[in-house]
Amino acid sequence: MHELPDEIESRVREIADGADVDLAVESDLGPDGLMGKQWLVTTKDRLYVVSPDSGIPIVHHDIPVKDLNEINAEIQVGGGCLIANVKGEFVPLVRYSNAMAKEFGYAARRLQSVAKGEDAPPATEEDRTRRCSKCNFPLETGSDVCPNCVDKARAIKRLLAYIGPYRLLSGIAAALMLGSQAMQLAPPYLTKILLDDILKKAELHKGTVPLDMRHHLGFMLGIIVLALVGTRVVSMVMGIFQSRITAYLGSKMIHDIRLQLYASLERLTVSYFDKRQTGAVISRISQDTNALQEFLAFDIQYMLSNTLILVLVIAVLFQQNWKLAALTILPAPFASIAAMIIFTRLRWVFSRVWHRWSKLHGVMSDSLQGLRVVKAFAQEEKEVNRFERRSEALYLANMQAEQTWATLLPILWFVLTAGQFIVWYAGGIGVIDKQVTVGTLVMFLGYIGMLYGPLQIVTRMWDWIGRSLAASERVFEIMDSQPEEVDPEKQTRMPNIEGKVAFNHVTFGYDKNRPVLHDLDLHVEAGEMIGLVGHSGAGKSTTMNLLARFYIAQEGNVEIDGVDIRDISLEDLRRQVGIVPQESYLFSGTIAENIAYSKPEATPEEIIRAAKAANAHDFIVNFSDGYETQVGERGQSLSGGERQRIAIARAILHDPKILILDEATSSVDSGTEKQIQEALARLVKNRTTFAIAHRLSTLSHANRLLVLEKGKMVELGTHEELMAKDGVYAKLVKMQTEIASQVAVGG
Amino acid sequence: MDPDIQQNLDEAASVRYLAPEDFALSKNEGGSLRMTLKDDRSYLRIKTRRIFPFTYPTKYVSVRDLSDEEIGIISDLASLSPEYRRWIEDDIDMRYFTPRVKTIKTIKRRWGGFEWYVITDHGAKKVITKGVHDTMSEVQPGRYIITDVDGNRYELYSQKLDDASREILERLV
Repeated sequence: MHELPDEIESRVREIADGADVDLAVESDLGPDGLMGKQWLVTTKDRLYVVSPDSGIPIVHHDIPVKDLNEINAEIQVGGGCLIANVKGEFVPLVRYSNAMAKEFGYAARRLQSVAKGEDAPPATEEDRTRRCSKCNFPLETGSDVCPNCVDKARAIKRLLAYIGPYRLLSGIAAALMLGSQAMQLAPPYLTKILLDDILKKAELHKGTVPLDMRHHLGFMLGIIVLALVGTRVVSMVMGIFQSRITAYLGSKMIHDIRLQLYASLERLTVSYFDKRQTGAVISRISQDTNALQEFLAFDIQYMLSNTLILVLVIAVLFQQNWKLAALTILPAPFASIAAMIIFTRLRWVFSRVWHRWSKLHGVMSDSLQGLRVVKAFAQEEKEVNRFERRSEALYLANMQAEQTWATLLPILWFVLTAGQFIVWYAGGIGVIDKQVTVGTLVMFLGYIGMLYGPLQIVTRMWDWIGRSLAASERVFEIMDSQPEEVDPEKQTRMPNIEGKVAFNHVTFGYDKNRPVLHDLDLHVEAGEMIGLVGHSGAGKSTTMNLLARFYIAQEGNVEIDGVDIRDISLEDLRRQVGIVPQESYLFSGTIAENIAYSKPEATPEEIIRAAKAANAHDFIVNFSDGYETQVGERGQSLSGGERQRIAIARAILHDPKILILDEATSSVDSGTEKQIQEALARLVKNRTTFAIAHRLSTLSHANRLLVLEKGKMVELGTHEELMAKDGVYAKLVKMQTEIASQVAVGG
Repeated sequence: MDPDIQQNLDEAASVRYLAPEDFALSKNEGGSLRMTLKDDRSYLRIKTRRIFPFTYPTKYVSVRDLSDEEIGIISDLASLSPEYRRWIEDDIDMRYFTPRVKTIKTIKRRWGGFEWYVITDHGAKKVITKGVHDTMSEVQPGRYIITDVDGNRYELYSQKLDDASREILERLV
């Protein structure tokens, strides 16, 4: 698994009589538990733990594999420990930090198999934390991009690809921008002509100017002023058109990206969302795409135009007077360095402000969302105090940030514009020595004024690009995440499944090293109803998640009608496996739309029939808007029992061959309960049904009951059989009847 | 109330506190602890967990068996004999790999997070974390638990840092 250093390998060979190394795993902790290194090395029949030393590596453990009764990678806080049971004694072998948990988890599984005389399971991709080869940052499974070392050029290229379809418009926008920027170069030049050719000539004629000359000069003056107005107007008009095109381009391109991103999100597996907060995913869509819009629509243009103007101005300056030009840009390198230092500093202070803001937000949303709880326990004052502490921290950070900004920026501006003073002096001397005309000097100063803005922007450019690339990376990462693994080649179309289900020795864990289902083996006939019983955490919902193919079993498989569900076309599978979840989620929309969610083309008659069968029709009719009552967010609020019956109606209309029923835990009154039970009885008829019930009484229709405990099947049989067995199920039933009678009496 | 149910509830809610005289400990060569309850059975290997790791690090230690069932709770380690106390503390230490940051040499901004170059009580380490918000939690005022990209945890008391380190930290939070 890991590359073994030579001296350790030779040491192991020496004590193992030349046996080959089978597996080597490196720990990031030394034998003393401090940061360091040690190795778990196995040969065909022995296990060693070796740590490097200045001299010969030290062997800490040397155990024959056949003596291992058991070996486990124990999960601890912040790390783990490989623990072996050697002839009845527990021996901690190697400690490691979480960074190595996957590797040792695999080592334990492998040794366990070898000790039992089974074949060693091969290491898969998930048994190793894949890391960026450059910076050691762990990569997510299925992602090869290291956010730190991402190839910037590649990301930019990919980002620019979004401009592709709008090449022509982008070209026009760029040309307009170029024109408009070039126009801005004219005014200082025209000023020079005004000063040197017109006003100066007038000045040379002491006293009155001859009439013809006055006319000539007046005419020239008019032309120059008109030209000044003209360039300004043309530049403005070009600018307006360019901005309008840009606005369209930016909004349209970001629409494209957002759409693509959202479409990829909807295709991702359930497990992708398990690991992430929905809020974080939503903010990624909105914030990161916004950042990209800013970049594609404005920043690129802004950067290009400013770079362009910088180059043009410098070119004009050098063309006019290279000596003065050189003096002008003399402070630029220093200014750039200063700008970089200052903006780095500002980034730190402002990100601290941002961090404190989000903490304040956290306090606010916490206590406002939980307002009822706050009030119920009269904790308003405590919440205000908590808020005050956060707010104060924010104000301090904010103040410091603003003060830093207010201090550093003028200094930067001063350094940046210092060239001006050099030009005033050197240019002034030039004028005195008659080497430079007044017009040239004024023109220079005009151009210099145009230089500083772009210079400042160019120095910040990398910062912007960096930030946008970070956003683009996060966006692309979602787009590139593996969607539900579909192999179109192997997808068997099964438009009419019968409903036979088999779990063949299924082992599964959301985290591979912590299985929650162990070796589940269950065969269900079409039309049979199976009740799943067990304490919470026993694995009932997990079993159902596997049947719905939200997750794939790690060992063994799930079959429908004898076909591995991995090979069944997802469309056919989802159409014929229906789920009534514990929390019936209603989308914003009408009741009718919610019932017809899986079958939008359903006729009103079909919807009514489904609602009627679900005992939902009567309460729906009693809403003033009937089936068109708005539900979901900001809609009519429904009781738990009502939502449940709408979910049942949804499932009835969906008409699946296999039904997964996760009974709601929320208690309803006995009348509603009866109605729901009736509705469910109609729903499960002629379908293979898996029902997770928390009240065992509701499983009375079940043909067989599957009792799970800690992920293992402990009992399977009919109610009567299991009662006669007097095992786990019987005990659960007894407990519930006691509580029920208790409630009935005590009420 | 039905007396049976009452009893059930009491049973479910009852916690066994282990007084020093209730048990004996022994330690095997490998370092795993064995607990024998007085007049009762013996557990080959026990696991210890802190229940209030931040507020009462030396009190309320849950002792569990291999299948993670609780054997009982030791209310205060100070009540144990020095030897037992050391054994239990060693076991706890082994189970909590949470190096304490003593010095921050530098914190570098990197894409998608930070690189910390720190010296901990377990040695020097380069720690890579994602953004501040997700990775630093202030468990008590001035006391942070930092979780790195691998899920490793580091503890940091801002009050106990030297001035230079604290200054670096304060740029961040």
